Amino acid sequence: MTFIGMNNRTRGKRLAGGTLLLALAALATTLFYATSPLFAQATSGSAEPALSGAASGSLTLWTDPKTGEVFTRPGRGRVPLILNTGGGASAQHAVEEQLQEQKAQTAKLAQQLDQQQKQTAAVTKQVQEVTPAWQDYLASYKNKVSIGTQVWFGYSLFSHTGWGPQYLTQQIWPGPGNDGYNDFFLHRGYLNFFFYPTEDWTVRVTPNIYTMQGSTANQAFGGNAGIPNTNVGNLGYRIKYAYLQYNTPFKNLGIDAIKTDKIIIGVQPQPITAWEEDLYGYRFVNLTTWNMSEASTYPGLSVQGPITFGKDNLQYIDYNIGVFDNASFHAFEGTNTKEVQGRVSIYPFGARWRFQGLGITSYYAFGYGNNTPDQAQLSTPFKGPNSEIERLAEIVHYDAENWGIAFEYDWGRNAWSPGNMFSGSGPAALYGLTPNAAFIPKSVAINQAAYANLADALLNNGRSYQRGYNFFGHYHLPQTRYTLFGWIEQWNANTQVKNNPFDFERVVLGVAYQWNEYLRFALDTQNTLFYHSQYNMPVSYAKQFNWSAPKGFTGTSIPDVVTSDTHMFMLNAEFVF
Amino acid sequence: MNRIRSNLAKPSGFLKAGAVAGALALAAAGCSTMAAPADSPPAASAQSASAKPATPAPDVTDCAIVTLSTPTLYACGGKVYTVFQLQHLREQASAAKAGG
Repeated sequence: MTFIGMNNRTRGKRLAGGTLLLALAALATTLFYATSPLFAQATSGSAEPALSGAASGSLTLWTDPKTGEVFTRPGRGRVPLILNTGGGASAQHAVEEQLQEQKAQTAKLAQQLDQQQKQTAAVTKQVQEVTPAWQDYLASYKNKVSIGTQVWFGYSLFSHTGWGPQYLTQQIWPGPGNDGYNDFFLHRGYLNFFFYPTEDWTVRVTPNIYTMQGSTANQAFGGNAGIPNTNVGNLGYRIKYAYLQYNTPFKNLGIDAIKTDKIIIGVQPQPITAWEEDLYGYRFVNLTTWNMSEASTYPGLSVQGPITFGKDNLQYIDYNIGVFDNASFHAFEGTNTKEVQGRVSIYPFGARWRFQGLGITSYYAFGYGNNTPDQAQLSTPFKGPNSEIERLAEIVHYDAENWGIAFEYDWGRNAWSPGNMFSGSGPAALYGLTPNAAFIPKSVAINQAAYANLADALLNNGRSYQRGYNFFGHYHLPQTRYTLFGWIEQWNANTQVKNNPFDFERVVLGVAYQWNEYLRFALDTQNTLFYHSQYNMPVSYAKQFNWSAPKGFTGTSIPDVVTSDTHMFMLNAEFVF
Repeated sequence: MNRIRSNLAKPSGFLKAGAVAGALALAAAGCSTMAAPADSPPAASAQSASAKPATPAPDVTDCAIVTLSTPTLYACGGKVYTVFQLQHLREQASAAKAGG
């Protein structure tokens, strides 16, 4: 170009005007269309000689060396002037390649961008969906843990105090001569922890607040000091329940009737008491009968559950069978034997819920006194605490949603000890203590000791048989929050004894008020009535049961063996969550 | 209950017992046609209670105790509810009543 330009400017006058213009036009056209092959081809016919060379990357003109004129056609004295056009076709090709490459790169970048955008969106979504660990933990915790409580609190006013069995767990009162005694009392303070790690397993741990009772002995502390006993009356904490429950042991057997039955291992309710408490519904007011002589909870293993049939899945049988320690949850196990307990409830017409309709329940327990094997082998005239223990209950019950009634027959063998008889309050001598001489004349104290020995002879002799009749129920007053309830019991402490002075009737009557789903109150009266007429038991008869006279006792009969009744009014509150 | 009361009014003790037993059997037979799972755990009862009640919300005072535990279960209208469900239904009913 520079060359041509220079020639143009220096030699312009000698170049024929039309020829020069044509050449320049051809050159410009060639150069211009070199970058546009389609247009170059379309116009190539207008300057074929020159453009023919352009196709190869050069332009051939002719020049007269003498004059320096440039011609587009050969002629005499002219020599070819080949101008390199810079490889138009190859440049075009290169440009095309570059364009294609550029397009490919652009497409690749677009693809990468699209992919990047998708990844970014996915990451954004993932980040948005990420739940903090603590939230995940709490959500899981909420679905797998239940925490609740059960509190029973009461106020008792004893219009007449006597000796006898307690009405509620750990409830005590002073003996005869203390009319008007009253107290506020915490009977139960559960903390219920239920864990449901999987559908198959449930874990329950329930500590319970209770009132501590025990030895009153003070203790030496150092060489010349002592400290008082501070256990008695304190609210202690102990484990009431701690067990592992296998919810689906029979699930894979393909037997629908028992698919919800379960196996429980650990410290758990024995088969009768907790079940009967729910049947009665007013355990926060008074104890059920067998619970007055055996704990509600034992360490052991049980299998239990409903047996259901039919398309409506009605419950026809409900059972609970287990093997337990002879010692309850608040004692050491001392034996080399174990206790077997079982309950079977039959609902002949089917039950929609646990107690619905007519039910017939049988309960049986066979165990031993909680003594170590060496002590159990001792030869004693009457193996009281070493004896076999049996308990039986036959209950016919009917439950509707607004009322329920039940009749219970009890039979027992060696199942009612002096400790059960006087769990609420008893003669001091029964517990190895001497009455305060300032209040009790010595002669009366000796007679009390004789009475205590009589309890031990008649109730702890290894051949005692018990019998009980119970009638209990409740009726909800329609359109109110009030429910009437009651429990009437006759208890024969040992049917082998004629006119057993320890026979009694227990009468509980009350009205409950349901505040809401969690809170109930009750106002009730509870009474222990020793119903035999007062009499003196001949020593000769008492000795048939291995009665022994206390020191200083010289009489031929034990005077006034029928102790006084106890009457108590109570306000109870129950909170269960 | 009315049947029971009227039968108890009869003079014969034997008839009284028979009447009571008969009334119980009749009542039980009448109820046996109802359907619901027995001894329902909380999860099962939650299912039964999740359905929108066609009848007025159950009141705990009209229900029978099934289990005193955490949570306590009550039977109302043939279904088993937890106390939490009963509370929820009661509050729903109160709100609906207040809203007209």
